[in-house]
Amino acid sequence: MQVSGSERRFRRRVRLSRKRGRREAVQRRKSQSTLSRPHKQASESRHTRHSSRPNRKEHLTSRRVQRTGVSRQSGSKRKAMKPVHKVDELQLYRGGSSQSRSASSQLLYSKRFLRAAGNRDATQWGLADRVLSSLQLTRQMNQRFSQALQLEGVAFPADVHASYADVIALGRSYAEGYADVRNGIGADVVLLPTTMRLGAVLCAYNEQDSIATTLKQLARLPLDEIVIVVNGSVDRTFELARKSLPEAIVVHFDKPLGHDVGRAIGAKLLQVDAVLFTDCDFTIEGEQLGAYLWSIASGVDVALNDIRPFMDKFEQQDGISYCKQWLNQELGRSDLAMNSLTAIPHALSSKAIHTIGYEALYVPPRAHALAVLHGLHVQTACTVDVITQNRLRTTNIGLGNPVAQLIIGDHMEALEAVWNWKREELNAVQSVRADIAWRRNT
Amino acid sequence: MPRLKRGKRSSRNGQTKLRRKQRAAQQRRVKRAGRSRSSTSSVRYAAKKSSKRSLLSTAGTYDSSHNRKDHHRVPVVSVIIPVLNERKTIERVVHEARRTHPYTEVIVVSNGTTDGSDRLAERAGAKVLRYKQALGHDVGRKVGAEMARGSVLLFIDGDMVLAAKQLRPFVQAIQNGADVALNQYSGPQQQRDVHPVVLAKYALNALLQHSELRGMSMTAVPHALSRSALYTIGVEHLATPPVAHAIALQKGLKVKACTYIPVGKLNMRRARSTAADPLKLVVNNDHMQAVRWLLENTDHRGGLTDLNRQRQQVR
Repeated sequence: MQVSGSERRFRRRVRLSRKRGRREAVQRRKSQSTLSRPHKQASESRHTRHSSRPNRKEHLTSRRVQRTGVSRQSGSKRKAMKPVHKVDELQLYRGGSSQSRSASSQLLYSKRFLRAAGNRDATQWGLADRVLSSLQLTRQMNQRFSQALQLEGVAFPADVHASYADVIALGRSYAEGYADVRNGIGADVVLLPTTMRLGAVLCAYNEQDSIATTLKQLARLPLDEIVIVVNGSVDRTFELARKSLPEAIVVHFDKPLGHDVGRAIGAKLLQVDAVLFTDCDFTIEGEQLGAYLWSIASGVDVALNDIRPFMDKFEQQDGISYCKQWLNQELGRSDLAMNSLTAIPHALSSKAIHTIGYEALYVPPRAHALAVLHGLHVQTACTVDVITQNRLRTTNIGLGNPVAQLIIGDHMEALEAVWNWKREELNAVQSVRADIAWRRNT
Repeated sequence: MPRLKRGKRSSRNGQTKLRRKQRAAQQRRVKRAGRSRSSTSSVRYAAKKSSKRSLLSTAGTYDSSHNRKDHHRVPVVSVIIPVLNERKTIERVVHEARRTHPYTEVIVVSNGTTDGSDRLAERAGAKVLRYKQALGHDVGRKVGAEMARGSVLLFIDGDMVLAAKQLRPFVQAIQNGADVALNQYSGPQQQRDVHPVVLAKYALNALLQHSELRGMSMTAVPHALSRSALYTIGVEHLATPPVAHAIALQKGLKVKACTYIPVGKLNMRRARSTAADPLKLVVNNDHMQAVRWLLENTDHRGGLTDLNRQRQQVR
C-alpha cells in the first residue's frame, strides 16, 4: 500500500500521542485513587438527579474520556477538557477539606446536606404549610434554604463566585428534600439564597389566556411583592390575576396606559431591593426569571436579557436593532450589542431605579441610556427568546409599523439624553476636524 | 509629464515586473486599479490612461486648461473635489470629472496642499480654490458648493479615480428629477463585526424612517445634489454630511439610490494607522450632530408617534 509522507507522519504522531496518553492516564489513576469514592458517588447520583450544568457532567465522565478517547485528541484539547478552574469557582467550603476535595464532590456533598435539610424542615414545619399560598411557601422555603446554607458556612453571594446554575442546583436539592416528605409540595420552587427583598412588575393588557401561567411561574420565585398592572383590559385578565395570585398587588386602569407606562407605575409602587420586569406575552420559566434577580443580588444594577443569540446577521436586522446597537455604541458599551431595557425580562436594583427615577422607565431606551450614563453596573444576565416567540399583533408586524416607530422615537429620546449628558465632549470633537484631515492625508 | 513619471517607476521596479503587470492592467477595468493595493500599479495605470487621452484631447497642455465652452454658458454640472495632497490621482480624477457632462465645471478645493496637487489640477482643467490650511474633513465640500454655478452638484474625492461612465448616472438621476442621488454603497458587508461608522449610518437612516436606504449616506462619495436641494439643505450643512443627509430626508427631498460603487474597496489602499482611526470618531460624531439637528428641528422624539402613552398616569 502506498502511503504518502504526510500521511505517514500523521500516523506516527497519533501513535506517539496514544502511547503518551495511556501513560498519563495510568499516572492519573494512581494519584487519584484516594479520591475514588466521591467520584463513584458522583456517577451514581448523576442518574438520579438531573444536573443543571452540562459541563459538570463532562467532568464526571472525564476519567473515562481520558482513558479511551485520549488517543484521538491532541494534548491541548485534553487540557481544555480538564475543568481546573472549577475548583476555585466552587469554593463552597472553607477550611482544609476544600484543598483535597474536587469541586464536583464538594457540590454534591452540599447537595446531600441540603437535601437532608429539606427533609428536616419539611418534617419540622411541614404541616403548617397547608394554610400557605404557593408564594408564601416559596418565601418560607427560601428563608430556610438560606439558613441551611448559612449553617453550612456558605454566605451567598459574598464569598462565592458560583454560577447561577450551581445556585439553582443547590436550591433544587433542598426543594427535592422538602418535597420527598411533603408528597411533592414545593418541588418546583426556584430558591435564591439572598437577603434582598425581591419584587416583580407584570404588565397585562388583555392577557386572559396567559396571565395564569405567567403568575404560576412568578410564584415559583421567592418574591416579596408583586405588582400586576392591568390596563385597558376588556376580558377576564383582572379576575384571573386576583384569583391566581391573591397576594399580588393589582393596579387596574380602565384605559390602556400605552407601552411601558405600566413598568414605571409598578416600579413606583414596589418597596424592594430588586425588581423584575416581565409581561405575559409568553411563558418564561421561573429559573430564567430568577437569573435576573440573582444577577441583581450579586451586585449588578441593571440585568438585561441577552437577545444576541436570536438576531440575524447585521444586514438582515431591522431598523430598531440598528438603533439599539448605535445607542449602546454611543454610550461606550458596544459589548452590549442590541441588548437594552427595551427587551423583557430584565431586572433593576432599587439603586438603579432611584438613580434614574421611576418616571424614566416608561421610555425604556432612555432609561437604559441614563443607567449607563450614571455609571450603573449594566450587564446581561440570561437569555430568553423574546424575538421568535413574541406574539404577533396587528401593530407590530410589517415595515414601519406603529410599534417600530414608537421604539425608534424612544431611541431619539435616549439619544437626546446622551446629548444632554456629554454635550461638551461631542462638540469638542468637531473642533479637531481640520487636524484629523491633515493627519490622515499626510 | 505622465511619461516621465512612468519612466521613473519602471526604473525603480524593474523592467520585467512592470511589463507583466502592465499586461494584467490592460485586461482589467477601472475598478481593478483601485482594488489592487500596491500604489505603483495604480499610478502606472494612471499614466497609461492619461497618455491615451492626451491623444484625443489637448487637456494635458497648458493653454487648454479653460474649456472654451465654459466661458459661453453656465455649466450644468459642478464637480466638487476636495484635495489634500493627492498628487498621484488628482489629474485623472479631474479628467474623468470633466467628461461627465458637456458643460461641466470642476472645482478643486485644495486645502493644506503641499505637494503641488493644486497645480496639477489646474493644468488638468479644474478651477482651483486654494487654502493654505487644511479646512477639515468634508469642509471642502461646503467651500466648493458655495462657488458652484451648475444646476447639478456632484461630489467626489480627489484620491479615488472613478470613470466618467460611473459618474454620469448620478448626474442623470438629478436631471430626471431626483433631489439627492446617493451611492448605493452601504459599507463593508462581509465583516463579522460591523464597523462603528457603518452602524451609525444604518441607525441614522432607521431614525429617519428610511430603513430601505440601509447604510447609504451623503457621507459616501460620489453623490449628487440638485441646486434646489442645496438651498433646502443649506450650504453650511454640507460640511457635516450626516446632518445634510438628515435634513434631506426629514424635509422630504427625493433621495434616490443610484448605482453601486464600492468606494470602501477603492479606498483600501490608504495606509491604516496603528492607533484607532480618529476619523471614526469624527464621522460618528457627525451622526450625533445629525441627531441633534433632528431634535432641534422636530420634537424630542424626532417627530415619531408615542402611541397613546399615558405618561401623566405616572406621578
